[in-house]
Amino acid sequence: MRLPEFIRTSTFRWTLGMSAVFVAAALVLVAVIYQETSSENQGRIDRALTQEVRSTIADDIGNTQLHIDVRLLDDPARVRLAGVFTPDHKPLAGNMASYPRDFEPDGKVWNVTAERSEGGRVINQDARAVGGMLKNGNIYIVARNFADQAPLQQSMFHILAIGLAPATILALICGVILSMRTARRIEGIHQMAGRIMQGYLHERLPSRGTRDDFDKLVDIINAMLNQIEHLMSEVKGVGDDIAHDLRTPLTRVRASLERGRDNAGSLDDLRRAVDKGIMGIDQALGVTTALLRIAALEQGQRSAGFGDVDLGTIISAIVELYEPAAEDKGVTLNAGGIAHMVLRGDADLLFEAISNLVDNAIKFTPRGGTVAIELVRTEHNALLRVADTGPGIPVPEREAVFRRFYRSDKSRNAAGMGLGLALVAAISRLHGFRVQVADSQQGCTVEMICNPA
Amino acid sequence: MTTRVLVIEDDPETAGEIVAELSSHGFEVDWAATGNDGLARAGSGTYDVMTVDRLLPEVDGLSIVENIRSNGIKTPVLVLSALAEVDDRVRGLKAGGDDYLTKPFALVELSARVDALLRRPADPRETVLRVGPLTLDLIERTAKRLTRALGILPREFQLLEYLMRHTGQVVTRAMLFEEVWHYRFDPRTNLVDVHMGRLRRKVDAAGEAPMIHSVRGTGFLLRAPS
Repeated sequence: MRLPEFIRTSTFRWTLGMSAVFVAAALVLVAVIYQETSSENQGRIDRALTQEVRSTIADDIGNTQLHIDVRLLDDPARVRLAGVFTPDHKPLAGNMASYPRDFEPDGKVWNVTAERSEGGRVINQDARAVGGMLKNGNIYIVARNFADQAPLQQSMFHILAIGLAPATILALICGVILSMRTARRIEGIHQMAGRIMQGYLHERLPSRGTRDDFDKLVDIINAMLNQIEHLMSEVKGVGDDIAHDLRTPLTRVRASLERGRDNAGSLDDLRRAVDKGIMGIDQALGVTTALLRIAALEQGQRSAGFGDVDLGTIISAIVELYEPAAEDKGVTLNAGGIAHMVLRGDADLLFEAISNLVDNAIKFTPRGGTVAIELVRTEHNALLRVADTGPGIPVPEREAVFRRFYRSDKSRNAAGMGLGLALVAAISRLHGFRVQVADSQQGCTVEMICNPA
Repeated sequence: MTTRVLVIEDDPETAGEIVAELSSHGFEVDWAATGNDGLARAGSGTYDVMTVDRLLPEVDGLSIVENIRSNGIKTPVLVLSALAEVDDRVRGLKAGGDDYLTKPFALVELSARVDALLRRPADPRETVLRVGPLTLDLIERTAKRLTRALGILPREFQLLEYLMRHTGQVVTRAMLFEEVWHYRFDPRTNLVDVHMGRLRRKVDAAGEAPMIHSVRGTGFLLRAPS
């Protein structure tokens, strides 16, 4: 059988637990009261018995029979016992049929089992008893049966019944109501979460605005959903960009091949068409390769390729590599700063990253401009700076340029895939470096902050 | 004697293209489609060079290379891989591969690299390289075409030395970049071409028969004028 939903809520379990604790506390309280009350009663009885025996002996009454009769009058509950016995324990007067066993008439209180004569019958009664010697040598005993504690027990049970049971039931009802409210709340959240999982990412979990625990939790989850939605839209944006960057060259490939097949008048014409096609496919492959490389770099530790690398050596190799191309374009390429800086890294990747920066700088610098590479030692880091005299990057775009496929409007028409700086950023991160576009008077200055290990 | 090449590649279409390309260079090409088949054939040691795909059914490509190397077989191996992992190349070479090529690749790149692996290393005692009218003095670091001194820069000297050591073979941009600059990445721009252009203007002066030729937009070839 399935239990109702609310029983499994933690609220209901807490209520059950609290009720149990409450009941236990009440029981302990009643028990203590009972104990205290009954021992107080017994003390009163004991004092009265002792006092009576003492005063009877002191008064030295002659007619004990009358004394006892008076004492035993007015006892509807049949709890009073009294008797006079000869020194050898024969009963002389009173309602005690025999001398109690294990009893000494020493003026102290004893627990005894007394035989009570009641209309010719003898009844055993548990009693508190006190006895003493009379002047004439007889023994005088008074006792009281404590069966009359029963009313006290009963009243205690009454207290429990009329006080505790309704309170417990009330607590359980409250528990059920609270639990059902919790269950309803969770059900609401559950339904909304289901919708979100179905793809309605703009939906949010219901909040009551009461700032209770649930609201706080819901706020946290909603904030998380906001972030996820934002990331998803970013991913979708990147996905659209990838599709666009692949479709453009592939469309050209398709057109080139189609025209080549239909219109080529000679083998050379066809070859030219196919060559254009291969070029377009290479471009598309370049996009996917670069994306895969960035993804792999962002995931990975590339321990295998790491070693001691001299940044200075890499920079001179890059300058030497790019010098002719820069010269052809009419751009001056300078290197300055310190000549050597050894740190741990991957030489191939650092070469690729720095050459990307230099490549970009030369690409965006107009004829007659300058590209300067500088390696500086700072207090804790090494700083690599690539500065050009090109159009620069507007301040609001300076972080965005390191994102995949980001292209500012100015560079939209320039050759390149919009992935170069993203690759630089990924390589920098892999090395624990930071790359940023710095403030500069003119042109663009990119800084790579390297931590030499 | 014909040169024997073993191609271990699981994709039949890729394998077909590789086999056709290498056969057109006059090689006798065998194809193994699975790791176990490849391992058995490679273990025979009767091939002059082989290409091994990184990901294969049954036995991994790198395990094949490690296995034959531990058996003392020195056949040069070109590892082919479609994996995007960054240190894949390092692992490929550590396992005993001699060269490494990432898919997708141009077929001319593949055959150029197979050619390069087949070329026996030059006699290290050589001090002068000669191709046709071209002389390269390895001690004095000078180059001459007949009697004309070329006046080349150190990097151009290295380029020319590599071309002359691979006379009659296609060398690709990527190969030049790796062998001359010793860095490993794919320069997207025409950087190597610019350097090559400068060297070419010095080697092939106006009116002389050209010795440096461009090949299919991918590489270069140095050849004595006929």
